[in-house]
Amino acid sequence: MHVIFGVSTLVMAVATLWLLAKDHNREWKDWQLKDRKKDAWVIQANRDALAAQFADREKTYEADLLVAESQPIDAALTAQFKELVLAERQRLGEKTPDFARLDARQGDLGAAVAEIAQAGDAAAADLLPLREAARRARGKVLGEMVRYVREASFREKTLVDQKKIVNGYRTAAVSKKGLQIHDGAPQQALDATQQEIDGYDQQLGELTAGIAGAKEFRTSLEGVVDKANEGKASLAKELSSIQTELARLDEQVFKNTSNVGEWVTRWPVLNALYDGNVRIEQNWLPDLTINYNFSNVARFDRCTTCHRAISKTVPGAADQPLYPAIPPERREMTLALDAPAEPPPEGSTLLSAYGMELSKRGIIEDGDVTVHYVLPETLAAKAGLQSGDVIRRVGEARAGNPAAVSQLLLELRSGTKPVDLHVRRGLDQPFTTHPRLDLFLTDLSPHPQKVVGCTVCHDGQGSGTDFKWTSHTPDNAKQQSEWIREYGWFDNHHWIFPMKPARFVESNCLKCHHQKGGLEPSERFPEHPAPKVVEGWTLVEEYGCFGCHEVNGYAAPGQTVGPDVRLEPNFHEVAAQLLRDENLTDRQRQLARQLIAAPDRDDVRHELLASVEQDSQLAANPETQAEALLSAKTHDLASLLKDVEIPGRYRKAGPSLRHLASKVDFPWLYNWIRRPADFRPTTKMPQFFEQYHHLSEAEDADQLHASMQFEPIEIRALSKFLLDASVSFDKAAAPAEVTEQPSAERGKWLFESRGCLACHAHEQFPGIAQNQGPELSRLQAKFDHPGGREWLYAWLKDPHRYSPRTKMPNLYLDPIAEKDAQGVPTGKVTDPAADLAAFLLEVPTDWTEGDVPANASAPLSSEEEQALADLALAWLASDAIPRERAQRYLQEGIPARLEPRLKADEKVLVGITDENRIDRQLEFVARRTIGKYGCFGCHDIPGYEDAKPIGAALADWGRKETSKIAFENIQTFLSNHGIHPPNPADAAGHAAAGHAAAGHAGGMVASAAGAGDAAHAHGHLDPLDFDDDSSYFVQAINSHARDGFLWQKLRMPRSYDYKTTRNKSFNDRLRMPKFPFTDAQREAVMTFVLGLVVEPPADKFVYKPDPRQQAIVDGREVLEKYNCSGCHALKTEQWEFAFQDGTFDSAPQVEDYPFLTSRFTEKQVADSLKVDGRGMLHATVHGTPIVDETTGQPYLVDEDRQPITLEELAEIEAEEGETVPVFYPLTLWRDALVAGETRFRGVEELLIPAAREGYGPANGTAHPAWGGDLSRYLFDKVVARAREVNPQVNAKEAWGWLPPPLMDEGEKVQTDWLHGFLMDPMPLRPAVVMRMPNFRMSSDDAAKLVNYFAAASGAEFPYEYRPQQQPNYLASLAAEREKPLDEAMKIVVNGNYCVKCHGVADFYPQGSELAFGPNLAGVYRRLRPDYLRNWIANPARILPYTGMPVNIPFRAAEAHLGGVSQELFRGTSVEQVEGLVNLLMNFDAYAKGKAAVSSLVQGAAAPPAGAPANQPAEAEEPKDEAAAADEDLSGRQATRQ
Amino acid sequence: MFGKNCTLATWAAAGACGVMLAAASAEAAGWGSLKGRFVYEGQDEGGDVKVTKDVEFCSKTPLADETVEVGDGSGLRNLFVYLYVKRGAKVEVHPDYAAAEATPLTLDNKACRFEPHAMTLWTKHPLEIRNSDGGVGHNTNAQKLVANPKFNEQISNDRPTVKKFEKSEPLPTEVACNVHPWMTAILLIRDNPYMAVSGADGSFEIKNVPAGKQEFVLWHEAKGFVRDVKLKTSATDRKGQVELTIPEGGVLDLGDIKVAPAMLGL
Repeated sequence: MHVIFGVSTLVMAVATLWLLAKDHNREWKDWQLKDRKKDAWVIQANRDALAAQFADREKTYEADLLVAESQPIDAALTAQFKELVLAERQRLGEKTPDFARLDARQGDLGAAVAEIAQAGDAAAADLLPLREAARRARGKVLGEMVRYVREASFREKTLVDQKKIVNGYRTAAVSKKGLQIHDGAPQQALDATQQEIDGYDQQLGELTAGIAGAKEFRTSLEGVVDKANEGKASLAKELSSIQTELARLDEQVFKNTSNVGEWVTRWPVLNALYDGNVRIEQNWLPDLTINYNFSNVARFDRCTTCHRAISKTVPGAADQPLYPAIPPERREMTLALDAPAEPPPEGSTLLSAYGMELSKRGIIEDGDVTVHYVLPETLAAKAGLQSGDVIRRVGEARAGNPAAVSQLLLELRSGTKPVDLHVRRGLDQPFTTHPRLDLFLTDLSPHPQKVVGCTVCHDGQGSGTDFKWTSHTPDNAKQQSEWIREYGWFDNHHWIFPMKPARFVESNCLKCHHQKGGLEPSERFPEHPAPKVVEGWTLVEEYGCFGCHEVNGYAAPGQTVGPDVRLEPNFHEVAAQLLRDENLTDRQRQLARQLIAAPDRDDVRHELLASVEQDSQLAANPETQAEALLSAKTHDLASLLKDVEIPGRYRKAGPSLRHLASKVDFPWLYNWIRRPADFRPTTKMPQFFEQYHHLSEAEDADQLHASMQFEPIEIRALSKFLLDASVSFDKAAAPAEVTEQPSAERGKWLFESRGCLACHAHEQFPGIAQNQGPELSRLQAKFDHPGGREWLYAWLKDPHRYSPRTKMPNLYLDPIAEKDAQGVPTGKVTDPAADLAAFLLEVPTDWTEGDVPANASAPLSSEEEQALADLALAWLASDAIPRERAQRYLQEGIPARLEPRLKADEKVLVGITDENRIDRQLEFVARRTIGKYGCFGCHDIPGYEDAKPIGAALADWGRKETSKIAFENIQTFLSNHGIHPPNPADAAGHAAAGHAAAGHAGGMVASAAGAGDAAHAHGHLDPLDFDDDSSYFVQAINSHARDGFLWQKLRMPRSYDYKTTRNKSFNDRLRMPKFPFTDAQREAVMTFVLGLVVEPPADKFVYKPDPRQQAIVDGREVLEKYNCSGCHALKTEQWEFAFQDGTFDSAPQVEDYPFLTSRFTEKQVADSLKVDGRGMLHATVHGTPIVDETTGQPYLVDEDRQPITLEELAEIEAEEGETVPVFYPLTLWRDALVAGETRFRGVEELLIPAAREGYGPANGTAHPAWGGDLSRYLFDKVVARAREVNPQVNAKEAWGWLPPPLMDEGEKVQTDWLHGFLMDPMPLRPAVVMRMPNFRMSSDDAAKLVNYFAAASGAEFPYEYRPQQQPNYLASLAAEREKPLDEAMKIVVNGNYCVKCHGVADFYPQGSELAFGPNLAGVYRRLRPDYLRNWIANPARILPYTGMPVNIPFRAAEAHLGGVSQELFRGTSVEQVEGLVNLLMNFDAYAKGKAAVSSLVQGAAAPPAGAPANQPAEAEEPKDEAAAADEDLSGRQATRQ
Repeated sequence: MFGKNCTLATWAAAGACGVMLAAASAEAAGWGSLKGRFVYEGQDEGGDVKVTKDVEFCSKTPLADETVEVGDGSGLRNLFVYLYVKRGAKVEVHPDYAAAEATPLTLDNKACRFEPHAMTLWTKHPLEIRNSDGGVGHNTNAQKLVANPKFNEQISNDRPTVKKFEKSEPLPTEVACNVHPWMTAILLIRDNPYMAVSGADGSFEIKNVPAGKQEFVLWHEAKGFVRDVKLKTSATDRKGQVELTIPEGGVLDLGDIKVAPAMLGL
């Protein structure tokens, strides 16, 4: 028993100890201690670097001090001193002092100093005794002075003491009097005491004055002594600041180093009582819950326990990471270190020879040979070494330890080539800092650590503190095996939120960000916050994934749970189909047409629906049945017009096929359906057919045969059906006034200049390739059929006629009346649409359809007939229709009596005859095939208005249970065939192979890769066999993870049918087509899809911008939809950079209107002057680089602003052996603050030091512009073209002929004007090469754009107040001055000013249109008054490129503040500008005043007396000046004609 | 942190700063002049100007393209020669220049062209821009200025615009009129008087230049910097620069300087 007891006690004891030890030795403690060690290392290195830099200073301090202390004392100072003493003595009435001793000592000092001066150039050592003597002499002079100071000080102190005593007496006397009063002492006694008090008061007053005098005397004496000691004092101060900084760093080092006390408190048990600076960091997030299987609990994020440095910033910087995470590819580097010019003498150190030190131990790993610090401007600094760099190898030698490396380096001799140092830079996780502190973790960021923690974005197990339990996820297989080895990592299937691998980290943004615009770059975050997920989102939109897969972002109206990407209601398709019912009433017809044009018109839709429903009710009632006009089909169709609770917003991704027969012919269509990328390698249409990768095994021969037999039938049936079902289309007739034949040459320029290239690519224009619309190089082959040209012409003229929902705008390709250089018509009229068609159809292409049926009615071979019959049978045979009967139906037709019970598709089989059998079977197969592949998800196909998306909804796919995902036999497939298997379709050697190669390159996985990949086909799928990216996904497939499934699904959708085809019918096979994504695109799409989790956190976390920001987010969607940025610049480049003080010349001084001054706050100015830790200032400027007039490209300039190429630069630098500074000149598009000075837009171009590598500023980033590509592309081309006509054209003005930048559009235009303009654009500028097209956007879209522009430029919206246009404004103006608008009109019509270049109402100026501005009569509706005022005052301050001059100059020193002649307008320049604003903002009222309506109305009463100015009363005086001006106007017009 | 500039400099460095200052204010050793004459080896190709605006008025006097003007004895007109001064450096001005009055120089809009077509302007002098074409509006667009504020102003007949400049432009600047696109003038603004533009006979002279080695720049509107022009022994480089030695108290006469059309990019 005892033995058992004894043993068990022992076991218990051991177990307890083991438990304690196990509990104590936790992994995270190691990490923390290492991190603390790192902090201490870095601080120590900083400290030592500083100390080394100061070492010389400290050494020379004594010598400097001696120099300072042996300086002469200025005789003037001594004289001043003496004067002070003398004055004080006189004040006090004391005897005149004897300065003999002072004078004598001053003399001694003079002599000593003179000796030094005599010694002059003598060696420092020889000077030393002389200096010592001078120092002593000086000390004596100062000592003498100090004697006087002491004396003064003594006097002052004596007085102060006396005052204290007297004060005491006074207090005693006061209390004595108090007692006397209390005791009722006689008045006499009281008076005596009061007298006593008064006496003390008088004494006190005298003493106070005396003290003040004495103090002033003393301080002035001290002042003189201090002045004499000035040099010494500043020296001491400098030294003390160095010492303070070193002391501070020492203290920091101490804090971060473990001391004995800490070491003790870290012991087991004790550390429970005292944490000893090593503790678990816990971030408790009660509102940000996590779903623990049906229960939401608070999050505990303990990530910072190990990731201690994750939010540390560089001291003094808000978002610069203290320990930057360097990307792996930039961590290893080879640096070239030059040897010292002279061999280092014996006993040299690395510090003396190279200006660097090696650390005794590494930062994390003790054995690493690590650079401790590098001093500036030394050999080490020149090589690029930095503190913390780990030296791996010196030349070929491995860096074993610091001493060895030191020795190696010190033995290097100059003259040979520099030695290669192989260096590893930066730290590993968890020692690094988060790379985006601007977005995350810091208190100023939108996601502060305290509020959002870590795991809501990263996932993983936040409460875990061991590497393996926190569910880290490796980013590739290599990393995974490293982790398994080092940290015992394992794939924890039981934690359902494994950390997102780095590649998908952006997925989780979608939890809180439900609108794409909320994740895009903004002014505050110019660096893209979430590029990958946004790209994925955009691809899903562009490729129309939502046509089959609904992504519903709403739980209820107004309650979003994720991104919402759904098809819009197809009201316009329903309306188009309704029109096919011939019995529609005229009103119904009209409504249907209106609805097609504007499906968002609810009123129209409701009326149409009600009208058809009425008819339907008639039909339902047997009594009224006969009155019903419309078919049952129409009644059913109209029910699709009912309201949709939360409508989707996306148009179908593909073109409408409703009028397809008017556009393409059968062979082209057949080829297109078969292999879309064959005709157009860049198409977004996916590949449905010939996906046979999974059918390459011998056992699959039958399956492969079935595919190769049936698919051509499907393609043929589809092609024929789509053409047959097509609705006729009225093509447009050419306008009669056209005199010229179509010209491809003119068409080419039109294609380039009218905006086509903003959306389309074409091989003839290699400089620009947009993909909003299709690539158009091969149209010749596509429209090479009767009617093709006419279709293209009609499409170009008015795309909406063919397809009401197309995003292609109406370009207003109206006939052009040619004009000569003076603007006079030549009589020639061209038709731009015809010219464009001519160009597009004349670009030669050798593309042909290849091996396709010649036409829809080409006879089928007997095998094909059999295949058709088999396929139709497979569709028709069912439980209800047994096989034999189905076979009979297909041959003889379904009996007519069964028709009412048949499905729509089956009805085509009624009435089969020998003649129509094939056609009917084909149609039947086509209808079923459309349903099978879901073609209507992307295309408008007549008859499929009620079809529903065929794919799985994806709203919560990111959380789809993996057990419900059908991985089928995919592992086996990949094991057997590798990840790039060949496609038997390619091997079959299609006749089309000749051109298929080009076609397939973009569309299919290159089969060439298949051969090399065969190496992997061992029947075993080891992720380590693949490249990093693929290895991740192969691993994910191995562990049945969602991302693995998705990867393969997007790559090779049908491969999941591997082996399953063997037991399912042809029509049950998988149907998802293959999209032509690149690897990067695919990963982006996956990032989006994996982020669809429908797990919105508590409401307060969901991103809800303020109204202004919301307007921007909403507007961006519309901007993207219509590709506004294709033509317009929406944001200029934003350059952020650091620079040394003195880099910029001082800003030019400008004299301009006070209201044009940029008002930066004092804080902004102060911030712009702040110097960071590196001694640099920072600036952010918005602008565009100046581009070359002939190439349209930005260029570098030298400091004389001369263009210089990189080659020239290299040449000059090699020649001169020094760095030549180079710059980018930037046109500012916003007033900027640079080093405290305002740089004005339109006044100067800023020279910004350029980066040597790549484009952008040195020490900074150039965040790209948004939009305006077409303008940049066209710039040099329009200049060249304009110069053909007129060689003197000013290139800069060409910007004004191109689509305008819209950065300030909101401030510029009135909201209601812009809304109308967007919906129905009118021509504005005579000079432009293209005009704004009509997108037929909805009022809602237009409103979103208007709000966007206003919000983005900080203007008022949705309404703005325009005082000038209020009813009382003109009346009150008229009270101030007579005929206020008429005077302003004099400026407008004066030949020197506005009418030189602007039309005004019916007047049109003479000359070349290139210099003309918009008609001024419409300004009152368009511009905002403040903008107009600023524009008139100085146009270049708004548009730097404008040719419009300052007409009314502001000159503060002149009479009337400058301005134009007083004869035109009385008043100052400011009043003249305002006068013009008043006129232009009221031009309608002014013009009305000129055309009296009353005179047109018979028997009108005379206007009442006292009618306001500018009312008809004025028009009755025909001889006033304004009327004269009118005559002038018409006179000018006459001369023009 | 230390030694960057004189105010923070250590005791030891203070001496060096003093030396630099002393060098900057040293008196020039002496003065000399530079002269020469540009001879063009090609034809005057100035074609007619296409008048597209105010046709009636502007066609009264014939207008020609003034880009390359060849005058008497094949002299090349309007070629700029000026002293190159490094950014931030100052050059001493001869007392004769300093004593001269700061009268405004005139750029006139006359007969639908700028008069003169090419001019130099020392920042000491204001620039007066006039419009002598009665009833015809001209604007003067100096948007290509880089060191001085850009401006673009309408010039009316009654009141000339007067502009004062503070800084040296690195090279001659084109001034244009937007209303009449053929109108251009070339204006060189420097903060020293050492510049010239060749006259009708192609000759130029710059007087009282500090003697010794000096860099000069050659610039013509057809090409910008004119490179490869031979001046005595040396030739101009990429930036039209050439180093010449100005003799103290004498004149460096470059004689006839040949300019081939290729040098002007023609």
